[in-house]
Parts: sequence; structure tokens; C-alpha cells
Amino acid sequence: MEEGKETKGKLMMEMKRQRASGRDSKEERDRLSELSDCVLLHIMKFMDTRYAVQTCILSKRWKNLWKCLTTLYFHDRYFRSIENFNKFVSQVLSSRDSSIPVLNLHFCPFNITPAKLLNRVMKYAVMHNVQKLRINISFPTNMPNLFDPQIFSCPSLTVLELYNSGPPLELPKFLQLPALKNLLLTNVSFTPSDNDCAEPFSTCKLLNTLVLQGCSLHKDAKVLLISNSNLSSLNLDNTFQATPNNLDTFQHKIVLSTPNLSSLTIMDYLSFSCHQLSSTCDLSFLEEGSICTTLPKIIGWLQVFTNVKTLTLNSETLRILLNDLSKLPTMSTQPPCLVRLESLKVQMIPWISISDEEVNKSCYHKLLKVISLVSDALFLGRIVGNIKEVEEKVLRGRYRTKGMEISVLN
Amino acid sequence: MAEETESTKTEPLKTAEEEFKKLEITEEEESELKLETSDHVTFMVEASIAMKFGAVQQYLEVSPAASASATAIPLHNVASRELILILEYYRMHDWVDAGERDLKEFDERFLKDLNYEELKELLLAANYLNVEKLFNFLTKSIANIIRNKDVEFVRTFFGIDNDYTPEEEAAYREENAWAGVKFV
Repeated sequence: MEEGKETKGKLMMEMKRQRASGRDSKEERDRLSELSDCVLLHIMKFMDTRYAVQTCILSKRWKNLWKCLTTLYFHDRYFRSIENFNKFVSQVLSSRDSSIPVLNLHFCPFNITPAKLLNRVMKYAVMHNVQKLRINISFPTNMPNLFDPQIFSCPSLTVLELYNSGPPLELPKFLQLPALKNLLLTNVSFTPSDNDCAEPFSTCKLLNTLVLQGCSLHKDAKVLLISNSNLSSLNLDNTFQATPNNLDTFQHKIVLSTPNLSSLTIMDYLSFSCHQLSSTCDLSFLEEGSICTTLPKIIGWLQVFTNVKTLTLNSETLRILLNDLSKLPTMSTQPPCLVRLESLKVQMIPWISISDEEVNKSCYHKLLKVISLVSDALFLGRIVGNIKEVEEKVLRGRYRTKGMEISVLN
Repeated sequence: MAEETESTKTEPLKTAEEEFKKLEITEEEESELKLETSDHVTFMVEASIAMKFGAVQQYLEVSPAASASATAIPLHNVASRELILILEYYRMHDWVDAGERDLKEFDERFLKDLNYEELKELLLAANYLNVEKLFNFLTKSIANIIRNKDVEFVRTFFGIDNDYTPEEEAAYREENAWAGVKFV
């Protein structure tokens, strides 16, 4: 057995050696034609569908190859006119091999693409078991919302990224997406399912990562309940914007019911305030937290972050927190104690400086000590939970203390 | 002056020595597999890297004894020149301290150092070895190279014999005008 194998191996090596020595262009061609259709399709997968379709002219072998592509990229930037783009999209859909699934679809049409075409593409994607879908849409303000919501009940979808730059797109009450793992929504509006509460994510049983950018609530709703037992990472990016007109009466709330959350990021430069984020469970698995904001009164948010091990703040947010703390009446309202905190990272915003004095002032608070370490005009704060003794060492801009690391990110 | 340079020199030397010692220790600890390329060159490769090669995994599934014995695992369709490159790529991407930017710079340099022939040979090797990450990197790079190129360039690149007659080709271009089939 062994011997036979070796001989065979040697023979193949001999053949290969001959090949390597006398490799002329004809042989080179033969070797490259060894590339299976699968490999060629893999190359085409990385091309805009317009270029992939154009390979049909190369030779008869390539004529129908593109029709088996499982990844489709339709991007307006490769077309000079909306007519050409629309014609191209519908031709691809009707010419491709309809027995082959569309696993990845990236659809970025012209702003004025008719809803009819958009809905046709969505319907095609749902029918061809789309798994990853990225759409950029922008309906003009004067056009009614004609987006067919069938994509929000697609059983095969695992990743959905919806970028909407038009007026808020109204979502159905529940997202019936049983396979969905990653979801990004930009500028959508949530519809209440029960009284004034919207709870769109509880039906996505496999949801792992959720990003909401600039989202809003339907006018009848007051609360967005993010309820999902599987969710691990949540990013709220300027979600819930009050306009200057409704700033005083703005009452919208986000309530978390996400027992398995391990990472929470809040980026907010608009209108969220401390009373508007809460959690119905203790988020005991929360490891990483990050807050970047310019808003006042955010100390209440920390309640949600009680269990974090790593907290990232920018210097502006730290200043706001310190300011909030200094205004707290002694002992009547207890600021939360971040008992598990191991690492605090402060992102320095060059144009926002906190004076050492400001940092030191907050040292008087017993529950939330902020100790400043000053070196090379850098300063940072430290929120201490259960650590009493502090050992300070300066190591190339990194500050290591007992059981906790503080780093300054420039 | 001379003394100063001496003293500054000894310091990094020492650290380099220590680093080297550290490396030696880790190398001792890591198990290795013996791979033999088509041109009869044997390589001792860290098991953690070699096991990323689908072809090696498959070989060991059939003959598990090869992992412990001194027998080399034959890679029939990979020459030493390609394997060296593949190992360079995987060692860099496996390096724990490599940041995103380091990897990006490395990838760019790696690609720049390859001519088209070497790139295609490497693609064949990566396809044979079934190494996903490198295969994706190469196919993506090739897609970037052929995009926007004229039809003859792409034919030459892939070694395609144009088996359309001029009439057929003209008719086909006409038929697919909607796709903007021009390839300029």
C-alpha cells in the first residue's frame, strides 16, 4: 500500500517537474483552465454585477457563467442614467439562472428609482432565499411610502442592512425574521404593537447584533422595547431625535430587555436624556460599554452599565459625567457603582479639554471617585468600584493600577 | 562619542537576545508537521498553521499516523516557491500582535511583490490547498485587477482562447447591449 502510494506520488512529481521546466504559454493556458467554474465565480463575486455580466463576451465557456452568480451588486455609480440602471437590473433578474439562489444582494439604486423596481428586486431576493441583504434607499419626501414590507418576513435572511436617507421608513410591528443574526437599520420608524409600545425585535430569535442609526418612533408610540433573549451587541447611534419644536415634550424611551447583552454602545449628539434609557433585567453579562455624547444629564445611563468590565468614554462625556456628579445632592441620589470595572478608556477629543481641577473636584464623591493622573498634559479619570488602594504607574501613556487598567486613546 | 554608541547598542541587542530566547521556547513547545512540496522540498510547519490548509486536514483524516510520524505530507500541486509565500502570508496573519493596519500594509506589499504569473500560480496553489483566507484575498485582488480592463487583457490574463467567431461575437455583443458589453 505504502509503496504504491509513494510511486504514484513520485510519478506525479515527475510530471509536475517536467511541466515546471518546460512551461510555455500553451501549458500555462492549460493550467489556468484547471480553474473550476467555482473559482471563476468566486472572482466574479467580488466584482460589481455590471462587470461580472460583461465577462460573457470572453469565450463560450464564460457565456453563461455569470448567470450562476450567487452574489449580486447593483450600484448606481456604475451607470450614467437611471434608465440604463433600471433596465440592467431587470434584465439580470430575468436572464440569470433562476434555480440558483441569490445569497448576497447589495442594492443601491438611484434616488428616483420607482418603487415598482425596488419591490420587484426585494420579491426576487425573498423568493431566491437571500441571506445577506444590503439596501440603500432614499424615497423623495414628496413620494408616499411605497416600500413593500415583505423583506421583513423573509425566512432565509441572516444579515440585513437597510440604509434609508429619505423620510423615516415605517416598519411592520414585528420583524418576522427567524434566521436573522445581524441587523442594521438607518432612519426607520417603529410602529407600536401594543398601546404605545413598539417591540419589533422579540420575534428575531437568533438576533445577535443590532445597530440602530437615527431611528424614531411612530407618532402614537412612546416606548421602544428592545426585547430579545439572544441579543449580544447593541449600538444606539443618534436614535430618537427630538426636533427643536418638540424638545420639551419629547418623552420617548428605550427599554432594554436583553438578558444576554455583552456589549452596549451609545453615540448620541442629539436629544436623548438620562431618563430615557432603562433596563428591565440586570444585564449581568454586559462586558463592554461605550458612551460618546455631548448631552447633559447622562448619569442615569450608568445604571444600565453597572456590570461593565470595560468602559469607553470620550473626554466630553467624561466631563459631562463629572459635572453631573458634582451636582448630585450628597447621598440622596446614589450614583451607580461600577463594581466590576477593570478598564476605563478615555478617548481624548483635542478641542474638548477638562481641567485637572475639574477632575479633582469629583474626588470628593465617595461612591464614585475620579482620580486624575496627570502626565504630558494628558489626564484621565478613573471610576472606582470596589478597589480601595490605588497604585499608580505610568507606562508609555498607559496607566496600570491594581486590578485595573486605564488607557488614553488619542 | 564612540562609547555612547556602544552603550546604546548593547541595550537593544540584549532585548533582541531575550526575544530570541522567548521565540526558541515557543518553537519548542509547538508541534510541527512535515510537508513536502511537488519539487521535493520538505518544510517543517507549525501545526497551528498547517492545520489551516484544507488539503492537510483531509490528508490527516485519511492517514492520521502522518501527524506523529516522520513521513512528510505530500502537496502534489504546490511548489516550494508557492508554499514559502503561503507560509509567509499565514505566519503574518496568525501573528497575535499584528494590528489591522499592519495586516493591511502587509497585504498590499505582498500583492505588490507578485507579478501576474506568480499571482495565478499562487491562486492555483491556494485553491488546491484549500486555504480560505488567502484564497479570498487572491480572488478579490484578481477581481480588482481585471475590473475595467479591456476584453483582450482579461483573455490573456486567464489564458482564454476566444472561440467565438467574429460574427458570433458581434451578434452576442448586440444581444447583450443592455449590460453595456463593451469592455471598451
